[in-house]
Amino acid sequence: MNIDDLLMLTDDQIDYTSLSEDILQQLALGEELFIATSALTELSIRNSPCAASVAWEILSHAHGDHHLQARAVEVLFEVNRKRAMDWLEQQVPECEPFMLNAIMELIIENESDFKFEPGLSITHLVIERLAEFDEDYEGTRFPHPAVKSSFLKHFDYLRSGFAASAHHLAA
Amino acid sequence: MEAKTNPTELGKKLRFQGSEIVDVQAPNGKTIACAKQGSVLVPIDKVAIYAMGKVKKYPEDELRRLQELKQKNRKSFDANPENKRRLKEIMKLKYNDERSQEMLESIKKIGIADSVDGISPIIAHLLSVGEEVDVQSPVRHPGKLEGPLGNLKVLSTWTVLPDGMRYLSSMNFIPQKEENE
Repeated sequence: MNIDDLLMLTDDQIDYTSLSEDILQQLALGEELFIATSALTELSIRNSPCAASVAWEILSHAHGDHHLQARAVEVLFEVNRKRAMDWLEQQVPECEPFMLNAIMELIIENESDFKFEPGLSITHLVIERLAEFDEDYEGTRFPHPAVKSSFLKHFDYLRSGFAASAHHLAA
Repeated sequence: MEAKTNPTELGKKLRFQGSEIVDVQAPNGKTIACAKQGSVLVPIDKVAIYAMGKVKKYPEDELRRLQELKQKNRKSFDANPENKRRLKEIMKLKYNDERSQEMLESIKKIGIADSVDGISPIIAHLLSVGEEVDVQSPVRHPGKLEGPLGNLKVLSTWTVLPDGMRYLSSMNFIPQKEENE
Protein backbone atom coordinates (compact mmCIF):
# COMPACT_ATOMS: atom_id res chain seq x y z
CA MET A 1 0.00 0.00 0.00
CA ASN A 2 1.24 3.50 -0.75
CA ILE A 3 0.95 6.56 1.48
CA ASP A 4 -2.34 7.76 -0.01
CA ASP A 5 -3.89 4.31 0.48
CA LEU A 6 -2.80 4.27 4.12
CA LEU A 7 -4.12 7.77 4.73
CA MET A 8 -7.60 6.58 3.78
CA LEU A 9 -7.61 4.58 7.00
CA THR A 10 -7.84 5.58 10.65
CA ASP A 11 -4.87 4.91 12.92
CA ASP A 12 -6.35 1.75 14.48
CA GLN A 13 -6.91 0.19 11.03
CA ILE A 14 -3.20 0.21 10.12
CA ASP A 15 -0.78 -2.62 10.90
CA TYR A 16 2.39 -0.58 11.39
CA THR A 17 4.54 -3.67 11.93
CA SER A 18 4.04 -4.63 8.28
CA LEU A 19 5.23 -1.28 6.85
CA SER A 20 8.68 -0.47 5.51
CA GLU A 21 10.84 2.09 7.30
CA ASP A 22 10.60 4.39 4.30
CA ILE A 23 6.80 4.42 4.49
CA LEU A 24 6.89 4.85 8.28
CA GLN A 25 9.21 7.82 7.87
CA GLN A 26 6.84 9.50 5.41
CA LEU A 27 3.84 8.85 7.64
CA ALA A 28 5.67 10.18 10.72
CA LEU A 29 6.37 13.44 8.90
CA GLY A 30 2.88 13.64 7.38
CA GLU A 31 -0.16 15.71 8.23
CA GLU A 32 -2.30 12.94 9.74
CA LEU A 33 -1.07 13.33 13.31
CA PHE A 34 -2.64 10.20 14.86
CA ILE A 35 -0.92 8.13 12.18
CA ALA A 36 2.29 10.19 12.46
CA THR A 37 2.51 9.50 16.21
CA SER A 38 2.07 5.76 15.65
CA ALA A 39 4.54 5.62 12.74
CA LEU A 40 7.22 7.45 14.77
CA THR A 41 6.64 5.04 17.66
CA GLU A 42 6.97 2.02 15.35
CA LEU A 43 10.34 3.35 14.11
CA SER A 44 11.42 3.71 17.72
CA ILE A 45 10.20 0.21 18.67
CA ARG A 46 12.28 -1.20 15.79
CA ASN A 47 15.33 0.79 16.98
CA SER A 48 15.49 2.12 13.45
CA PRO A 49 18.49 4.37 12.73
CA CYS A 50 16.12 6.92 11.18
CA ALA A 51 13.96 7.27 14.33
CA ALA A 52 16.27 9.97 15.72
CA SER A 53 16.44 11.95 12.47
CA VAL A 54 12.66 11.85 12.04
CA ALA A 55 12.16 12.91 15.68
CA TRP A 56 14.63 15.76 15.19
CA GLU A 57 12.91 16.83 11.97
CA ILE A 58 9.62 17.05 13.89
CA LEU A 59 11.16 19.05 16.77
CA SER A 60 13.37 21.37 14.75
CA HIS A 61 10.51 22.36 12.43
CA ALA A 62 7.86 22.30 15.17
CA HIS A 63 5.99 19.93 12.90
CA GLY A 64 2.52 18.69 13.84
CA ASP A 65 1.12 19.43 17.26
CA HIS A 66 2.42 19.32 20.83
CA HIS A 67 1.36 15.66 21.25
CA LEU A 68 3.52 14.56 18.32
CA GLN A 69 6.38 16.78 19.48
CA ALA A 70 6.19 15.35 23.01
CA ARG A 71 6.46 11.83 21.57
CA ALA A 72 9.35 13.01 19.36
CA VAL A 73 11.41 14.33 22.27
CA GLU A 74 11.00 10.99 24.07
CA VAL A 75 12.22 9.15 20.98
CA LEU A 76 15.15 11.54 20.51
CA PHE A 77 16.09 11.33 24.18
CA GLU A 78 16.44 7.59 23.89
CA VAL A 79 18.87 7.65 20.98
CA ASN A 80 20.57 11.05 21.02
CA ARG A 81 20.59 12.34 24.58
CA LYS A 82 22.84 15.32 23.89
CA ARG A 83 20.66 16.70 21.11
CA ALA A 84 17.51 16.07 23.16
CA MET A 85 19.03 17.83 26.20
CA ASP A 86 19.99 20.84 24.05
CA TRP A 87 16.42 21.03 22.75
CA LEU A 88 14.99 20.72 26.27
CA GLU A 89 17.25 23.46 27.59
CA GLN A 90 16.01 25.79 24.86
CA GLN A 91 12.34 24.89 25.29
CA VAL A 92 11.83 24.76 29.05
CA PRO A 93 11.99 28.54 29.74
CA GLU A 94 9.18 29.37 27.32
CA CYS A 95 7.33 26.25 26.25
CA GLU A 96 3.58 25.96 26.66
CA PRO A 97 2.17 24.21 29.77
CA PHE A 98 1.37 20.95 27.92
CA MET A 99 4.97 20.58 26.76
CA LEU A 100 6.31 21.52 30.19
CA ASN A 101 4.15 18.73 31.63
CA ALA A 102 5.51 16.24 29.05
CA ILE A 103 9.09 17.34 29.81
CA MET A 104 8.49 16.87 33.55
CA GLU A 105 7.20 13.35 32.89
CA LEU A 106 10.31 12.61 30.82
CA ILE A 107 12.55 13.90 33.61
CA ILE A 108 10.76 11.89 36.31
CA GLU A 109 10.99 8.72 34.20
CA ASN A 110 14.71 9.27 33.60
CA GLU A 111 15.53 10.82 36.97
CA SER A 112 19.16 9.69 37.08
CA ASP A 113 19.95 11.63 33.87
CA PHE A 114 18.63 14.85 35.40
CA LYS A 115 20.34 14.70 38.80
CA PHE A 116 23.72 15.66 37.40
CA GLU A 117 24.93 17.95 34.62
CA PRO A 118 24.05 18.50 31.83
CA GLY A 119 20.54 17.38 32.82
CA LEU A 120 20.63 19.11 36.19
CA SER A 121 20.48 22.59 34.61
CA ILE A 122 17.27 21.56 32.84
CA THR A 123 15.80 20.36 36.14
CA HIS A 124 16.60 23.76 37.67
CA LEU A 125 14.94 25.51 34.73
CA VAL A 126 11.79 23.44 35.26
CA ILE A 127 11.76 24.30 38.96
CA GLU A 128 11.98 28.00 38.04
CA ARG A 129 9.12 27.60 35.56
CA LEU A 130 6.93 25.88 38.12
CA ALA A 131 6.78 29.08 40.15
CA GLU A 132 4.42 30.37 37.42
CA PHE A 133 1.95 27.64 38.24
CA ASP A 134 1.20 28.15 41.93
CA GLU A 135 -1.87 26.75 43.66
CA ASP A 136 -4.09 29.59 42.46
CA TYR A 137 -3.13 29.14 38.83
CA GLU A 138 -6.18 28.54 36.67
CA GLY A 139 -4.77 28.88 33.15
CA THR A 140 -4.85 25.34 31.75
CA ARG A 141 -5.08 21.85 33.14
CA PHE A 142 -1.31 21.56 32.63
CA PRO A 143 1.03 21.02 34.32
CA HIS A 144 -1.11 18.23 35.72
CA PRO A 145 -1.24 18.46 39.55
CA ALA A 146 -0.15 14.80 39.94
CA VAL A 147 2.86 15.33 37.64
CA LYS A 148 3.82 18.56 39.39
CA SER A 149 3.57 16.91 42.78
CA SER A 150 5.58 13.87 41.66
CA PHE A 151 8.25 16.12 40.11
CA LEU A 152 8.59 18.21 43.27
CA LYS A 153 8.74 15.06 45.37
CA HIS A 154 11.64 13.75 43.27
CA PHE A 155 13.55 17.03 43.19
CA ASP A 156 12.51 18.74 46.41
CA TYR A 157 16.09 18.67 47.68
CA LEU A 158 17.09 20.90 44.74
CA ARG A 159 14.37 23.39 45.58
CA SER A 160 15.66 23.72 49.15
CA GLY A 161 19.20 24.13 47.81
CA PHE A 162 17.92 26.79 45.43
CA ALA A 163 16.21 28.72 48.20
CA ALA A 164 19.28 28.42 50.45
CA SER A 165 21.65 29.76 47.79
CA ALA A 166 19.25 32.60 46.93
CA HIS A 167 19.07 33.48 50.64
CA HIS A 168 22.88 33.29 50.88
CA LEU A 169 23.29 35.62 47.90
CA ALA A 170 20.76 38.06 49.29
CA ALA A 171 22.60 38.15 52.62
CA MET B 1 -18.83 2.55 -4.88
CA GLU B 2 -22.43 1.99 -3.97
CA ALA B 3 -24.70 4.24 -1.97
CA LYS B 4 -26.22 2.39 0.94
CA THR B 5 -29.36 3.03 2.85
CA ASN B 6 -28.34 4.03 6.32
CA PRO B 7 -30.93 3.64 9.01
CA THR B 8 -28.97 5.64 11.56
CA GLU B 9 -29.72 9.11 12.72
CA LEU B 10 -26.47 10.29 11.15
CA GLY B 11 -27.53 8.92 7.77
CA LYS B 12 -30.83 10.75 8.04
CA LYS B 13 -29.15 13.99 9.01
CA LEU B 14 -26.64 13.74 6.19
CA ARG B 15 -29.35 13.02 3.65
CA PHE B 16 -31.23 16.04 4.98
CA GLN B 17 -28.11 18.11 4.30
CA GLY B 18 -27.93 16.85 0.73
CA SER B 19 -25.26 14.20 1.21
CA GLU B 20 -25.37 10.43 1.64
CA ILE B 21 -23.40 7.64 3.25
CA VAL B 22 -21.46 5.30 0.94
CA ASP B 23 -19.09 2.40 1.49
CA VAL B 24 -15.63 2.88 0.01
CA GLN B 25 -13.32 -0.09 -0.42
CA ALA B 26 -9.78 0.69 0.79
CA PRO B 27 -6.89 -1.03 -1.04
CA ASN B 28 -6.28 -3.25 2.01
CA GLY B 29 -9.84 -4.59 1.70
CA LYS B 30 -11.30 -2.58 4.58
CA THR B 31 -14.69 -1.02 4.02
CA ILE B 32 -14.83 2.63 4.99
CA ALA B 33 -18.14 4.41 5.56
CA CYS B 34 -17.93 7.89 4.05
CA ALA B 35 -20.20 10.89 3.74
CA LYS B 36 -20.44 11.76 0.06
CA GLN B 37 -21.49 14.95 -1.62
CA GLY B 38 -20.71 15.50 -5.28
CA SER B 39 -17.10 14.44 -5.80
CA VAL B 40 -16.12 14.75 -2.13
CA LEU B 41 -15.76 11.94 0.40
CA VAL B 42 -15.32 12.36 4.15
CA PRO B 43 -14.56 9.16 6.05
CA ILE B 44 -17.00 9.22 8.96
CA ASP B 45 -14.67 7.56 11.50
CA LYS B 46 -12.04 10.29 11.12
CA VAL B 47 -14.68 12.62 12.54
CA ALA B 48 -16.69 10.28 14.77
CA ILE B 49 -13.60 8.76 16.43
CA TYR B 50 -10.84 11.39 16.31
CA ALA B 51 -12.89 14.54 16.88
CA MET B 52 -15.28 13.01 19.39
CA GLY B 53 -12.64 11.84 21.89
CA LYS B 54 -13.28 8.19 20.96
CA VAL B 55 -9.69 7.09 20.28
CA LYS B 56 -8.68 3.95 22.18
CA LYS B 57 -7.92 4.74 25.84
CA TYR B 58 -4.45 4.03 27.16
CA PRO B 59 -4.02 1.68 30.14
CA GLU B 60 -3.14 4.18 32.90
CA ASP B 61 -2.39 1.56 35.57
CA GLU B 62 -0.02 -0.37 33.31
CA LEU B 63 1.74 2.86 32.31
CA ARG B 64 2.22 3.84 35.95
CA ARG B 65 3.54 0.37 36.82
CA LEU B 66 6.08 0.37 33.96
CA GLN B 67 7.23 3.92 34.71
CA GLU B 68 7.73 3.07 38.39
CA LEU B 69 9.68 -0.05 37.50
CA LYS B 70 11.90 1.98 35.16
CA GLN B 71 12.50 4.64 37.84
CA LYS B 72 13.02 2.39 40.83
CA ASN B 73 14.52 -0.77 39.38
CA ARG B 74 16.13 0.07 36.07
CA LYS B 75 18.02 -3.23 35.87
CA SER B 76 14.85 -5.25 36.20
CA PHE B 77 13.07 -2.99 33.66
CA ASP B 78 15.90 -3.37 31.13
CA ALA B 79 16.13 -7.13 31.65
CA ASN B 80 12.86 -7.64 29.78
CA PRO B 81 12.82 -5.91 26.34
CA GLU B 82 9.05 -6.30 26.29
CA ASN B 83 8.83 -3.63 29.05
CA LYS B 84 10.51 -1.07 26.81
CA ARG B 85 8.37 -1.96 23.79
CA ARG B 86 5.18 -1.86 25.81
CA LEU B 87 6.06 1.49 27.41
CA LYS B 88 6.56 3.02 23.97
CA GLU B 89 3.29 1.53 22.74
CA ILE B 90 1.37 2.94 25.71
CA MET B 91 2.94 6.40 25.33
CA LYS B 92 1.74 6.40 21.72
CA LEU B 93 -1.79 5.51 22.85
CA LYS B 94 -1.60 8.22 25.53
CA TYR B 95 -0.68 11.00 23.11
CA ASN B 96 -3.27 9.93 20.54
CA ASP B 97 -5.95 9.68 23.24
CA GLU B 98 -5.01 13.11 24.62
CA ARG B 99 -5.10 14.64 21.13
CA SER B 100 -8.56 13.20 20.58
CA GLN B 101 -9.77 14.53 23.95
CA GLU B 102 -8.33 17.93 23.08
CA MET B 103 -10.22 17.93 19.75
CA LEU B 104 -13.43 17.13 21.62
CA GLU B 105 -12.78 19.98 24.07
CA SER B 106 -12.25 22.35 21.12
CA ILE B 107 -15.59 21.52 19.53
CA LYS B 108 -17.41 21.65 22.87
CA LYS B 109 -16.00 25.15 23.40
CA ILE B 110 -17.76 26.36 20.27
CA GLY B 111 -21.00 24.74 21.40
CA ILE B 112 -20.97 21.53 19.34
CA ALA B 113 -22.08 18.45 21.26
CA ASP B 114 -20.48 15.01 21.57
CA SER B 115 -23.28 13.33 19.60
CA VAL B 116 -24.66 12.70 16.12
CA ASP B 117 -25.88 16.29 16.28
CA GLY B 118 -22.22 17.28 16.68
CA ILE B 119 -20.78 15.00 14.02
CA SER B 120 -23.09 16.11 11.21
CA PRO B 121 -22.13 19.83 11.15
CA ILE B 122 -18.42 18.90 11.18
CA ILE B 123 -18.94 16.51 8.26
CA ALA B 124 -21.04 19.12 6.43
CA HIS B 125 -18.24 21.66 6.94
CA LEU B 126 -15.59 19.26 5.61
CA LEU B 127 -17.74 18.36 2.60
CA SER B 128 -17.98 22.04 1.73
CA VAL B 129 -14.21 22.54 2.18
CA GLY B 130 -13.60 19.52 -0.08
CA GLU B 131 -15.67 21.08 -2.85
CA GLU B 132 -13.33 24.08 -2.92
CA VAL B 133 -10.13 22.07 -2.92
CA ASP B 134 -7.93 21.93 -5.99
CA VAL B 135 -6.02 18.81 -5.06
CA GLN B 136 -2.56 18.50 -6.53
CA SER B 137 -0.57 17.99 -3.34
CA PRO B 138 -1.41 17.32 0.29
CA VAL B 139 -1.55 21.03 1.09
CA ARG B 140 -3.35 22.00 4.27
CA HIS B 141 -6.66 23.64 3.45
CA PRO B 142 -7.99 26.04 6.07
CA GLY B 143 -11.62 26.19 6.99
CA LYS B 144 -13.70 27.75 9.73
CA LEU B 145 -16.14 25.51 11.57
CA GLU B 146 -18.96 27.61 12.97
CA GLY B 147 -20.64 26.61 16.22
CA PRO B 148 -23.35 28.26 18.33
CA LEU B 149 -20.69 29.65 20.71
CA GLY B 150 -17.86 30.50 18.33
CA ASN B 151 -15.64 29.37 15.49
CA LEU B 152 -12.86 26.81 15.20
CA LYS B 153 -10.12 26.82 12.59
CA VAL B 154 -9.86 23.43 10.86
CA LEU B 155 -6.94 22.40 8.66
CA SER B 156 -7.63 19.51 6.32
CA THR B 157 -5.61 17.62 3.69
CA TRP B 158 -7.10 15.79 0.75
CA THR B 159 -6.09 13.13 -1.75
CA VAL B 160 -7.58 12.24 -5.12
CA LEU B 161 -8.74 8.65 -5.55
CA PRO B 162 -8.28 6.85 -8.89
CA ASP B 163 -11.93 7.60 -9.75
CA GLY B 164 -11.32 11.34 -9.25
CA MET B 165 -13.09 11.63 -5.89
CA ARG B 166 -11.52 13.99 -3.33
CA TYR B 167 -10.99 12.11 -0.09
CA LEU B 168 -10.29 13.71 3.30
CA SER B 169 -6.98 12.30 4.52
CA SER B 170 -6.40 14.41 7.62
CA MET B 171 -8.11 16.96 9.80
CA ASN B 172 -6.56 19.04 12.57
CA PHE B 173 -8.16 21.65 14.80
CA ILE B 174 -6.27 24.80 15.65
CA PRO B 175 -7.27 25.95 19.13
CA GLN B 176 -8.07 29.64 19.44
CA LYS B 177 -4.93 30.59 21.40
CA GLU B 178 -2.61 29.03 18.77
CA GLU B 179 -4.54 30.78 16.03
CA ASN B 180 -3.95 34.14 17.73
CA GLU B 181 -0.21 33.62 18.16
